Amino acid sequence: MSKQQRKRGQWWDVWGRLRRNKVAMVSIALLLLIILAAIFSELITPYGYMERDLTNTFAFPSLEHLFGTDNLGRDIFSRVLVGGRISLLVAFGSVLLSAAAGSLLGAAAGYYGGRVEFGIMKLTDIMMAIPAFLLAVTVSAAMGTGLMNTVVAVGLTNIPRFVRLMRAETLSVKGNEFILASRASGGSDLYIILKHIFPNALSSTIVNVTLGVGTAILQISGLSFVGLGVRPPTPEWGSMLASGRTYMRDFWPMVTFPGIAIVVTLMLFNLAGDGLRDAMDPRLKR
Amino acid sequence: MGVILEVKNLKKDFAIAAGTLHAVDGISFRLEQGKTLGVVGESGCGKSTLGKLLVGLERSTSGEIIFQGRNIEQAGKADWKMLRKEMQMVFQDPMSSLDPRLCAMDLIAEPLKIFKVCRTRDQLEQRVRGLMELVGIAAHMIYAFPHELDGGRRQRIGIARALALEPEFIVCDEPVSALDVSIQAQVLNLLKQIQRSKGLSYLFITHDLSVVKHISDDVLVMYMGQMVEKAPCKELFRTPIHPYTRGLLSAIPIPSLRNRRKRVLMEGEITSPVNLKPGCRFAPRCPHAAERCRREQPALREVSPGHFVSCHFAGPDALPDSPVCKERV
Repeated sequence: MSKQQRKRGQWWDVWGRLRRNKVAMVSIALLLLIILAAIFSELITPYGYMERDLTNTFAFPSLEHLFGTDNLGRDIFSRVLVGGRISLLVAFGSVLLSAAAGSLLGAAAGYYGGRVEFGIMKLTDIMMAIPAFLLAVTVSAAMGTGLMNTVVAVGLTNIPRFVRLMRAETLSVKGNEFILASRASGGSDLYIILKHIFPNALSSTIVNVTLGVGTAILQISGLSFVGLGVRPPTPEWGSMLASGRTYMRDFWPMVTFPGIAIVVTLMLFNLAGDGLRDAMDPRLKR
Repeated sequence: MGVILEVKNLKKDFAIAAGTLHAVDGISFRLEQGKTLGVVGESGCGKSTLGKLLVGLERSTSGEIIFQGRNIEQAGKADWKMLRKEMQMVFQDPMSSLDPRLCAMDLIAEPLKIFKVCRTRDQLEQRVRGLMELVGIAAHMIYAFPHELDGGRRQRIGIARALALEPEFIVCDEPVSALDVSIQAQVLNLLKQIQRSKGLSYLFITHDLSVVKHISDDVLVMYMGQMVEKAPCKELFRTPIHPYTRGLLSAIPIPSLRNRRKRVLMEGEITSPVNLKPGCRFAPRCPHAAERCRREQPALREVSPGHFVSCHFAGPDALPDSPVCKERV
């Protein structure tokens, strides 16, 4: 009985509020569907994403090829699903990277104040002054293309938003007496940051991560579109758009379906993020 | 019994935009083991800063704090960690001094976990249950969150946390001022009872004179960072000498229609504790202030055994109507 009591509490309330938000629930369900489809894409479609059929290029959507085939006769549906896997993987990876680095920096800035804060916040301001996409382009141009480098490039550009968020959260949590109480009980700075400040800032960070994944998908697609992200033939929504661009006039499916995939996923992430924010902090609700 | 804590000429200045704020300005006292020293004063007089200095949440500007015969101002980081076990603090607002995300079990266990007192989870739970029983929280509330409890129970958790490491000395920073009066009495009695059974020493900070009267052995009255009067509790309430103390005591309401007494009303506001001028700090508000009071700061004098007053008119130069508050308070 006591173990069950332990589980409820704050997260239970959040779930209760989230459950009543239909838009958010539908978005989350669809997102899960997309993620599952991306993971298990091989099981869903009979075609491999690299499987060429040069006798059947530029086929329009049909029952056989749901989204049609591209210039090399590859099934676009399979490629969109596999491309989603890459996009989502890179997006989650980069957002986790920036959330971890940004949160640590932000917490340090907010907790210690003074020179530490000055240094970190000025660096953040400098990074924010550079347009995010330009920064990502520069980083991936310097490091070369590839999955890992794209993660780092996009991850770096998203650090500032997490720094700023965590600094603000830290400042507000720090004012509470329980920080002093923990210090009086012998807690070290690191202990207090990890055990008291992070958990109390968790809800807004989760929201920011959700919204950040959307942004990251867009940035990755953008990078791949200009040829700096994931290299073809690995399918990725952005690079698929780029290769479809050539045939846009005569053959619409090659650009339309990856485009729709990007827009829908982005929208779902934003809707889910908004819903989560409302559920976690009812005061913020407009 | 031995002296557990001795404070000598303790000072804490804060550099603020307008100059230097003297939050604590030359406080000295001794606290014997098993006794309670009540510290009273109005808001902003430096009571809380004093408490924080004593448990090391603030570093003093100058002066000495000698705890169990050791000067803790010179203690290093490792020493401090050991000192934390010996001295703890109970905070004013139990809502904000308890992390809302932790349940009673985790809150009380926090100091135990930091000091790795218990080896197994079961041991830890045993210990927490023992502490909960000690402070009078029902065992089934072990997984309750602060927002599910009332103010009194929350403060009991705060007390249990402070007791977890079995300290010798506890600073209670207005532990009951956020509570209802009926619950105040319960919590005060709990603190007293624990003190008796464990031989604890308290520094009890409050602005509530009836609370201080109930719990203290000695009372220290602070005004603008300085000690204006210190006396054994009974004596202070019977024969207050400093005009500020008299004013404070006459502000205690008497719940009776017939017993109307003349109140010593204090005029004016507390003056700014930033960049102080010479002279008695209380002079601008003191009904008896003379030329001398504005010129030179009165020294602390022992007018009777254990009764210290910092006023030019204490002792030999006593005020004509001194001691005024003959009526029982």
